[in-house]
Order: sequence, then C-alpha cells, then structure tokens
Amino acid sequence: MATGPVSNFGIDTGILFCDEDRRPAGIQSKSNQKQLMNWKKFFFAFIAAFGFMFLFGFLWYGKLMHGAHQEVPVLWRTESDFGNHFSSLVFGHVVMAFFLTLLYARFVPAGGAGVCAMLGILVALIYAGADLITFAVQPLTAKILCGWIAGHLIQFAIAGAMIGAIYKTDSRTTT
Amino acid sequence: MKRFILAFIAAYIFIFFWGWLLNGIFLKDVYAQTPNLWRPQSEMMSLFHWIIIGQALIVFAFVMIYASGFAGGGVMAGIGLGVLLEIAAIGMRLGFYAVQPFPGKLIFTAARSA
Repeated sequence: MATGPVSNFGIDTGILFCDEDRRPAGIQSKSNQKQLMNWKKFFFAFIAAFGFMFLFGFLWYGKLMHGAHQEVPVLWRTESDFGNHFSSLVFGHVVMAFFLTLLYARFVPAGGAGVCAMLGILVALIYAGADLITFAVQPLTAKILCGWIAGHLIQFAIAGAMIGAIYKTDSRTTT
Repeated sequence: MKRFILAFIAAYIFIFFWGWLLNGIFLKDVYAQTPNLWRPQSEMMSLFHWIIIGQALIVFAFVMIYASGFAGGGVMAGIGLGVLLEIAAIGMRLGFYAVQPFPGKLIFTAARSA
C-alpha cells in the first residue's frame, strides 16, 4: 500500500489518511517523501523525461513548426549561430527534465501515470501563461503562440505520465 | 476553495507588481539592447490583456499545484515549489537562448514564470 500522502489528484479537502492526525481543512500532513525517494528510479525517470522532451522538442518546435517560425525570422538566431549555442539547448533540457522529475517525485512519491500526467498539464499551463506574456511582448504570430501552447500541453502531459509510470513501482513497495 | 481564491489573489498581485518592477524597471536597459526582438511600446500596450491573462494562468496553475500536493508543508513547501518551477523555467529559457539572440543576462533574471 502506498505510504505517500497523495493518492489522488485534487485540492486537499482535509480528509484524513490512515497515518494522519486531525488537522484544519486544507492542510495536508507533511509527506515522508524523503524516506520514499528512490534515486535509481528517479535517474531512469529523468533520463526518459530528458530523452522524450528533447526528441519531442526537435520534432514539434524544430520540424512541425519550422514554417511558422520562419514567418518572423528576425526573432531567431542564424543556423550557424544556433549551432554555436546548441549546448545551451541541451543543458536547458537537462535542467528542465531534472527539476521536473524532482517536482513529480516530491508531488507524488507513490507515482502513477495518470496523476503525473495531470501535474504535467498544470505545469504546462504555467508555461502557457508565459507563452501568452511572450506573445504580448514579442512579435510572435498567433500560429506560433497556439503551436507553443499545444506543444507544452502534450510535452508535459506525456513527460509527466512517463515519469509517473517509471517512478511508480518501487515507490509503492517501499516502506 | 476560499483559501484557494485568497492565495490566488495574493499571488497574482505579487507576480503582477514583481513582473512590472523586474521587467519594466530593473531590466529595461537589458531589453533595450535588442529592440528588434520586442514589440514597440504602443503595440505591447494594445496586447496588455494577454499579459494579465498569462499571469493569471501562471498563478492559477501554481496555486493549483501547491494546493493539490504541497499545502501540508506550509510556507517552506511553497518556497520549495517556487524554486523547483523557476529552475525548470530557467532550463526553458536556456532553450530559448539557444534559438533567440537575446542577452544572456535574461536567462537568469527574466521573471516570465517566477
């Protein structure tokens, strides 16, 4: 049986879990995720998330949206300049995948593809909000904005599901 | 739900004024180094509602994540969640830096999702 505090996705309503004392509504007990952290599973989940996010980013933003991006060429680096900064792209994905895996692992120590996919959608909404702000300050087209938002929703939902699925098994059996 | 709404309003007010202070005042000169990357001031003002909606979406998702899995940890859990999400956002900005010729300073200072 899962020992983590979160088994369903939703706003905490104050319902008691078997290992919790009575508390005011809306306040969860402190999780024991430190005891449950499985670094081996975490590492595999991180690698899978990084691989997926990088590949998806290449296909979605680099290939599928290439034409849309070319409508505003002034915004982008030249091909050779992009090559010089490629390490930033790789490192950025490493940072993003690592900290998102950490977030998912802390959020749902017991894992689960469905719950983590939902968390992924919420994380994507944060990036979608940032996309809307970028649209207001940079001369992006509506097509680019919609493509970025859709891309983020798909990317983070699937990445979340993958992390949840990989992180799930061991965590649930750890006590 | 009452706490959720109050947290949303408080976080929204903070992020709005912090965003204005950081991006509109402190980083103004950095943005001015690459004027071709940004809309003219008048055009930005005509699209200002998208900034309002974008910030509301960020705050809504942030409070939702906090309320769904971190509320038990109190203030420290909120700070931890904010740090995790911001570092992930820095990762995203590194990706943008690779494809857009904006000053490197903006990777760590721009408050798009802080």
